Amino acid sequence: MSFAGLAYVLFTVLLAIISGGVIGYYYNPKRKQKIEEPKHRMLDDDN
Amino acid sequence: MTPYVQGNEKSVPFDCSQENLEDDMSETSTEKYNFTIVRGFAFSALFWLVIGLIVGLWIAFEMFDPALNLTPWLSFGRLRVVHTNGLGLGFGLAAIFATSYYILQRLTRTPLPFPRLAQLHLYFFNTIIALGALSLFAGMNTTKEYAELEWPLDIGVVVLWVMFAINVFGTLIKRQEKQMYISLWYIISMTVAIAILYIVNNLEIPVTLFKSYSVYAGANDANVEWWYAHNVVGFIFTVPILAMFYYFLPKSTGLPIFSHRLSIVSFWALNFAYLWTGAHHLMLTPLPEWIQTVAIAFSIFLIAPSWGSVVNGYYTLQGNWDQMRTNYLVKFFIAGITFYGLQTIQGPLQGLRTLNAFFHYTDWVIGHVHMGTMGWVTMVISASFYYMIPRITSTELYSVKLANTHFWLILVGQFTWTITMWIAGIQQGAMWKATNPDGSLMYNFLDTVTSLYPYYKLRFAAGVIYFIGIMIFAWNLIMTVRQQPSQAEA
Amino acid sequence: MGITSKPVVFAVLAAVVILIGTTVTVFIPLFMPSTQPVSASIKPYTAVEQEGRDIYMREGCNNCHTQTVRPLRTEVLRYGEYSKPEEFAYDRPFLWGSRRTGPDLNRVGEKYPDSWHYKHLDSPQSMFEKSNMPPYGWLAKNRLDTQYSLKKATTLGYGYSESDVHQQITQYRATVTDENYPSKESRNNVTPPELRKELTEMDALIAYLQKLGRDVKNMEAKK
Repeated sequence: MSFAGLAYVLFTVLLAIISGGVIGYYYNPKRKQKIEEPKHRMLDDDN
Repeated sequence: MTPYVQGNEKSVPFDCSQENLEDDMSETSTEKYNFTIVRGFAFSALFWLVIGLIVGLWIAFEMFDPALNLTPWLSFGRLRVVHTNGLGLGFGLAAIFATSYYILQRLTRTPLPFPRLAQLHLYFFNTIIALGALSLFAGMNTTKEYAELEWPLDIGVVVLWVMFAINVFGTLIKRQEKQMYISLWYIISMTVAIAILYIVNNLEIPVTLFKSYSVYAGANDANVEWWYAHNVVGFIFTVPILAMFYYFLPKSTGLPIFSHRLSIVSFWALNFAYLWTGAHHLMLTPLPEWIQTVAIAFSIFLIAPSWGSVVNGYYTLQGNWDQMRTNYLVKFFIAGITFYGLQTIQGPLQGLRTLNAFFHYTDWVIGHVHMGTMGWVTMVISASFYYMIPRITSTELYSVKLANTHFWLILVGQFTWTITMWIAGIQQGAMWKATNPDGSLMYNFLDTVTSLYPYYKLRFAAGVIYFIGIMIFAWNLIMTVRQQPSQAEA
Repeated sequence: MGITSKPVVFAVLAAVVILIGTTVTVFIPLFMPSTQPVSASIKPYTAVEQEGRDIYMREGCNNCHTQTVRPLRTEVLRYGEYSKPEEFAYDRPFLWGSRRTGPDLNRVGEKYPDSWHYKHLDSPQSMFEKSNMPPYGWLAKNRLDTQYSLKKATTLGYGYSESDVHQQITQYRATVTDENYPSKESRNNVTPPELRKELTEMDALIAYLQKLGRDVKNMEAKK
């Protein structure tokens, strides 16, 4: 495999790892309640 | 009609919007927040919308009958940029400023820290847009798409953006609500991205007050321009419209958004991937091939975060789809997000080399753009204004019936418009490629143009239907404000 | 949660995320000579051609005409040799366009005589009855303003001296006003008598159109 080809593959793998990490972090069940809180609070911002 | 009854998210039962209205009319909110600015920008948006559409109809007519090129000022080449800038910068930005000022104050529970600056922002904005339109009529045109304004007006645009950004970050820093809701993230990323895009693409060396040359040459200029043009559409016609969608859909249905964490993941993925894709507008041009290929890859990837928002929108209504009938605003949002979903599939597909070789430079792409602007963007802005204007003026919408008429007219107008252009694009693309058995071209160029005139006439008719819908929209909001009870006068 | 409660950090992070793709696909290529290669065969525009190009921009011709021929069989058949990156080294801004309401113009130079362009620009419908191109006869009624020609050439780095610019203008004026100019009759038909000894905006625009794709022939011949 050429150097350029390898670089593209490694970059893709790196991006997949980072997005996996982000998804894993935010989809961790123990953070769910805290993360989802603003969507309920925004409903009563009228007063 | 309840396709998605089961779900682990807590969903608040639909409470009648009438009841919500009563709550909202509490005087505290209209006194506490600065809503005159919201109203000013909302009606500026309507004004530029009507102007931009009249110009649009004019050039649509010129496409099949050049008789309307009456003077240099009314020739197609000049008017087309008045149309795109008038609607993109005039209507689009004004609507974004109106809704952003509203959403910011609400979600942070904080009034604008610099209301006078905001007022100045409004006057300055309309001055720049008016001067911009005049200068484009006069042929002061840098020719870089959606960045056609000459350098003194570019500086004006940067100044008005800074004026806006000061209030955005001022409000966010002083906010009363700890966590920022989705819409605020989108407003932040728009504020940052537009500043970078606009400044980098508009770097130019002045020759006179009315003339300048780009600092970049040839392929580099093309690369910078389409990086800008693609993303300015992204960060004006996607990102802030998503901010409106994520705010006004839950507010007008009383239902919390399906998933906050899905929106987080989509948000970062969208912001990251968008900037790589500009070169899909330069497919098969002399731009280096690797830039084109990278752009294709990220364009395909973009389907994921775009559909994150589509899914979030649809699932928010799970178990409450009856609101499509009972709540007139929901139609706008759901039709809007559907067009966004279609748009974000069609776009990446057009970026594929083989399809691009066929569709690029034809009316297909014009159809694509207008599904986004006439469908997604206008639908969501319409509903946001219908939600916002009665609340900031402590009154009720003048007529829900008219709002429904507006919805159906712009839906039918837009559909007819875009489908007509897709067919025209397929026909022209095929005619360009058609060869005789001996390998020679089957059609000369003029044949491929004149055969489209029937479509152009139909497109004009569709535009008229759409325009009537928009006039009803404007009328409805004007009448809403005019019946405003006197005690709410700010 | 984390950054969603820190607006300034959030904004900085958003800027960083936005700038990654920008840097790789836009900023770095700016400094790579391979993005916009140059060729000695490709000459900058003369002062008159540049004025013509500015008129092309002013009238928004780029809204209907592209200037890039793609390497596709039928496209090369229709327009000629596909576009090479070197051709655009002096194009500030680029004028590749995005929609072909009219045909591509990157190979239009020397395809038709000047007389064809005088007639066609004056009234496209007189040559092609059903054409939807706007008529541009009024360009022949405007005297060409050359007061900024030198400043423009300097700004664009064409390396012309004042006398170069002056010579280019007088030479082109001599060409089109010459008694033996092959397109004299068509030019006189569209140009009012008082401007027939001067350069008009239409003269400059045609000079520009005739330059498109001309130098690349020399470049290809040398290869």
